[in-house]
Amino acid sequence: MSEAGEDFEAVANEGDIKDGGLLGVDVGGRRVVLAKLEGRVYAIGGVCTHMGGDLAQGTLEGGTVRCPLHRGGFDIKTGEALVPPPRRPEPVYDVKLQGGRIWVSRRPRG
Amino acid sequence: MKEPPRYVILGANLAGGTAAETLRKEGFDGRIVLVGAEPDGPYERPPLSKEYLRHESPRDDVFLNPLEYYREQDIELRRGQKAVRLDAAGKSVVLESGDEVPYDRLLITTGTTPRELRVPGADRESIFYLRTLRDSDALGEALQKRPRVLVIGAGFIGSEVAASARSLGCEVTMLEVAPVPLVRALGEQLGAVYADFHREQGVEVRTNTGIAEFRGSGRLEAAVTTSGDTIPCDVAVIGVGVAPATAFLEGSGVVIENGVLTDELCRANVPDVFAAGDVANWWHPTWQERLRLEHYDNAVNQGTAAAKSMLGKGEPYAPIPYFWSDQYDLNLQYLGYASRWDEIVLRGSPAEHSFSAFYLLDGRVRACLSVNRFPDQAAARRLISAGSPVDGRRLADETVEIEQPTES
Repeated sequence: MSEAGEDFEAVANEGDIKDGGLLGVDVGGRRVVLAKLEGRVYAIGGVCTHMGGDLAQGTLEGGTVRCPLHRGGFDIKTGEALVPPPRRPEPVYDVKLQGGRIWVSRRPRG
Repeated sequence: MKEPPRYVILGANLAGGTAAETLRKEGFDGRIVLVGAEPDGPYERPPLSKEYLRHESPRDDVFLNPLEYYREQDIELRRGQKAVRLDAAGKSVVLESGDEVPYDRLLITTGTTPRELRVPGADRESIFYLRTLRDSDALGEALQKRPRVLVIGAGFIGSEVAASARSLGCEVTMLEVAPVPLVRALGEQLGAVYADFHREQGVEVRTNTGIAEFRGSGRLEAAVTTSGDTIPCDVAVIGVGVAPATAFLEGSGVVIENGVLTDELCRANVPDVFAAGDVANWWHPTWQERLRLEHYDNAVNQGTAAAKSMLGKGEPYAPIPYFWSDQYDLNLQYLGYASRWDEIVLRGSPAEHSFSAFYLLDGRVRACLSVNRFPDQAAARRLISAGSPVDGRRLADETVEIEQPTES
């Protein structure tokens, strides 16, 4: 049981991720990357749809997460593949901040 | 009524396909004709020597888009049609079939073709080149039988094929006429590191030697090197470089000099003719030198830049070049461009498969190669962009963070 609701899971403390940073977490057995931009936290699938790179080990450039293997880029808000080589989007997860914790939806949006 | 403008792209590949996509994304509503010599629609070449070659990824994954995309976007994709002549004055391209394709603006993205190795016996079966998807299909099929493989040429294609064949369990010998693999791109010091990587994996690497002859009664049985050694093999793969595909431009008035010469807006010397990707030898406006790059990243970015330039929305194309190569468990990334350097500073350990090499010229970072070390690439990008002097000793010291560029 959780404060943010059954469909959300607490994955980290708010202080675990700094602005402009990335953090890899597991949600319902799936790898998810959190990105913090201008004080807001976003969450998309954490495994690159190109060759499986761990996006949490990449960089955040503006609103784009760049994969550590080949610099493919995904929009942290929409999951869209913005920079090839990846061409398939990442799933997007809802995020809530509550009680100093970051909560991520157990299932992707849509 | 006025005819809509007609933009023709020669080369239905990564650069050409990306340019066509960009024209539509930018709102161009004229005709787009995308002409390709190959039977397939635009696809990506990196997997052809790696995961696709090893049968680890499906065929659909290599294409930029499914064929329906081109119909939906009203892009006239003409496959299997090679350009044989450009009539720049009459503004049309003549295809092998004899068809003439008129254009208002033309983008040349014909890429490169492999250099052929002309030695006795080179027409034997089981001797492969690797450039196209169909080439990869044929070689991938042959590798399934786990043959003894001889790779001729230890550039990126040769090195990646050697790694793939070895990963599949083939016995692999790799020959290189230079003293080390990858010497043109990485230099001798780092080429030697890559020779070690291949040897660790059980590849026999022989350098300073080329091929004199292929032998076998009908099928390939062995190759004789220029040093006089005989190497038994069932399959040979030749990767001895490529040349810009510009034969059809002879006599057209387009200036060819190691590819199509273009300015920083991707324009050739002839009106309404543009070039991008492997075939373009362009003027880099911030570095003040000519570059012709045979890399994925450049095909995408220059294809995009050329399309915008065709629409009159061009901006000077001044990227920091970037490429990668995956061999075994080694993810190589290379940022920048260094045709010469005074010093290479190593950070990390080649023996532990985690290091970066910074190529310094006049005390400034011109390029950075990283193996399994992505964070260094972000730091290198800042240093290369800034072009400010760096302290090599500090760069080599892993106990301190890589310095930020100084304000200039």
